[in-house]
Amino acid sequence: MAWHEKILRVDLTKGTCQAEPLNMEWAAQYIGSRGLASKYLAAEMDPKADPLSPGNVLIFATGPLTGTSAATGGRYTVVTKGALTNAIACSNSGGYWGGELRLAGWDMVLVTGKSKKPVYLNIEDDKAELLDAKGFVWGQSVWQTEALIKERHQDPRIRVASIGRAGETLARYACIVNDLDRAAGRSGVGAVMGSKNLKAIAVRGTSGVQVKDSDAFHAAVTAARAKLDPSDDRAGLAASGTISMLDITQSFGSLPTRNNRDVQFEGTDKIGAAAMVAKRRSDGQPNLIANKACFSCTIGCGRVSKMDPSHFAVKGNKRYKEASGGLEYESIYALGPMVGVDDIDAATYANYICNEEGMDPISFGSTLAAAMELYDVGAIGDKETGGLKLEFGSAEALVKGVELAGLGEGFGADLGLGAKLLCEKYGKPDLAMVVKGQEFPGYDGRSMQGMALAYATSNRGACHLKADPYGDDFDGGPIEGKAEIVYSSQNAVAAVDSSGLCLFPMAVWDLGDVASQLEAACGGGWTAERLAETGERIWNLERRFNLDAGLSAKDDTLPKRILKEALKSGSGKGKVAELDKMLPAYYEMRGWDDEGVPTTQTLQRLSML
Amino acid sequence: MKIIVKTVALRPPAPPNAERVIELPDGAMVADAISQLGLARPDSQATLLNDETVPAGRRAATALKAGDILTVFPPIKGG
Repeated sequence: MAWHEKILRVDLTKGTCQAEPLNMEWAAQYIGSRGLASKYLAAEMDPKADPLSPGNVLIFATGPLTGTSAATGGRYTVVTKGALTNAIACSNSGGYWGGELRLAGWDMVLVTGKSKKPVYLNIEDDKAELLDAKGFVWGQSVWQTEALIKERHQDPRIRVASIGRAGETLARYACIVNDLDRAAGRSGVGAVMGSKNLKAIAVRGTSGVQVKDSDAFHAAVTAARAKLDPSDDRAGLAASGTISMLDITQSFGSLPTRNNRDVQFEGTDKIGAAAMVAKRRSDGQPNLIANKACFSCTIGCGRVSKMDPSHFAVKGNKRYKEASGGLEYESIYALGPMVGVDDIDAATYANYICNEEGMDPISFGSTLAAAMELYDVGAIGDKETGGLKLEFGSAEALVKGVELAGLGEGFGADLGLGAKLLCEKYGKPDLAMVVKGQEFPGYDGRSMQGMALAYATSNRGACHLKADPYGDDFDGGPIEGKAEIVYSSQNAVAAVDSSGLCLFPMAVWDLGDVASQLEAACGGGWTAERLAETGERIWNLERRFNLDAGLSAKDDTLPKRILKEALKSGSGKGKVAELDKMLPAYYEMRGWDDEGVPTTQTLQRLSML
Repeated sequence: MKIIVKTVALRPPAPPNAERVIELPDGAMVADAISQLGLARPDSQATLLNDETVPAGRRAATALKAGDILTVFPPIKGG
């Protein structure tokens, strides 16, 4: 079967690394990755613990299909209590790190406690040890850390997941970056890693993953690829990545602009998919120079960009003139329209810095947008910003702001608080476009009502990836149908997230395609129906963690702006988010009481008692 | 009658971001306009008529008038 049945337990307080068996009863109930790690988290820690305290647990978890030949089977999830949200965090990443961990013979790395001094974890197949990071990679960026570790251990095929200086300085939305520009991006998992004095996990594996029935697995993978590979959806992602969404949300009127004051941005032509491939006047080259794929991926949605060498942000700074990870929809939304900036090179630069210093570009951009509105309404001024003119539309403010936030210096320390704490600090909590402390992705819930419900109910705070209301929202589906769409897609996504696969093939796959690959790899009777039920179990597990952490139904809400201020343009003109109509139906569908607590009957049905 | 059609983020051979005028008989419906565009999967696209969504199930019964702006785009998922 595809599991190695082996966990690496790292106790940073004691400085020990030990192998232990994977709990296979839990794997049958929660699959792997997001689901299984959430089960471990709930069992291992007090949900009320401060996320930045040694009592928090940090888990790097693969799924049973991670490291296999299943298309997109390279994903892993970081599960912990989020520094940004005080809620459960499950932050999923691609690249090659997750596959490498499986090739080294491990299913999961579970990190507890806090090291007295900065360390990094080095894994070479079944050997794991904690090594001193002080005077070596502590204080270095993500990019420097990866290069230094490969150089020290004399192996260019080592895969590194690390934090940058944003994680070291505990920026609330610090992320964990692997393979230079792939990230477990959301909810502040990098700040948790920084709080534990853990700089990086380097891994090199030379074994493989043994599936249960190799012939059946090959047939299942081939059948799934026969759907995915020739599809328009795959071709679109390979050609344009996710950035095509910018033209759609602009047309639809759901593109958050200037801290959600608007939902259409006058500068999209300068920063969208067409702009990425247009040749520049300065050097005749386009921003986008190639696409790239993660482990075992047949899509290749990743962007590789080169900035305009004459742009003010990179003058005299050679490393930013090299090719690096480019803009995706979420990053261009947050580093463009959300802050009112129409400069594709400034946004590309800001995205580079987010990768280099380990920050979630969604949260950074949205936090900067909140700071710009605070500046605009006079809640902060040059005294607070250190002279930085935080004006909407200022590329200079974007460039300087990201540099300061990456290092935690000057006003960057305030930016590192995230939008919620920043706006509370300056007496304007309503200006934070957040749910459960996490900043909005690139969709406004007033014109996409299903997304409004998805944001409000997401266990990790505002998120575009934990439900799939897109098709119905764009088709103008009725409010009455939103609860069912969000409920069922949340369950499906939870199951896929837990398998080790990416969500993107689900544009053409259904849960049956996932189940057939999982069953051939692991056995145990996986079907589409069982995956949906397992996803529902995972959702309720996460919900119970949050309730135990102190969250409640009052946290299933949206900012006042989204609930009270009607849209001025687009398909949602005149509308606000109708959460009051959707949420009760959603609770009822979930089998939760009026306070959003799973009933005993629901927990019994899901075998959770 | 003449209406304006905007195609957004569509894959080739459809123009990705384009605007054009098409001519339709009086009384034509949204579905009639979409069928003229030569799209590979016309039923799987999302549509806006003058900034109002037109659900797939209502396109055959939604009448057009001269000067309307019809926007057509693929309902892709985010990432």
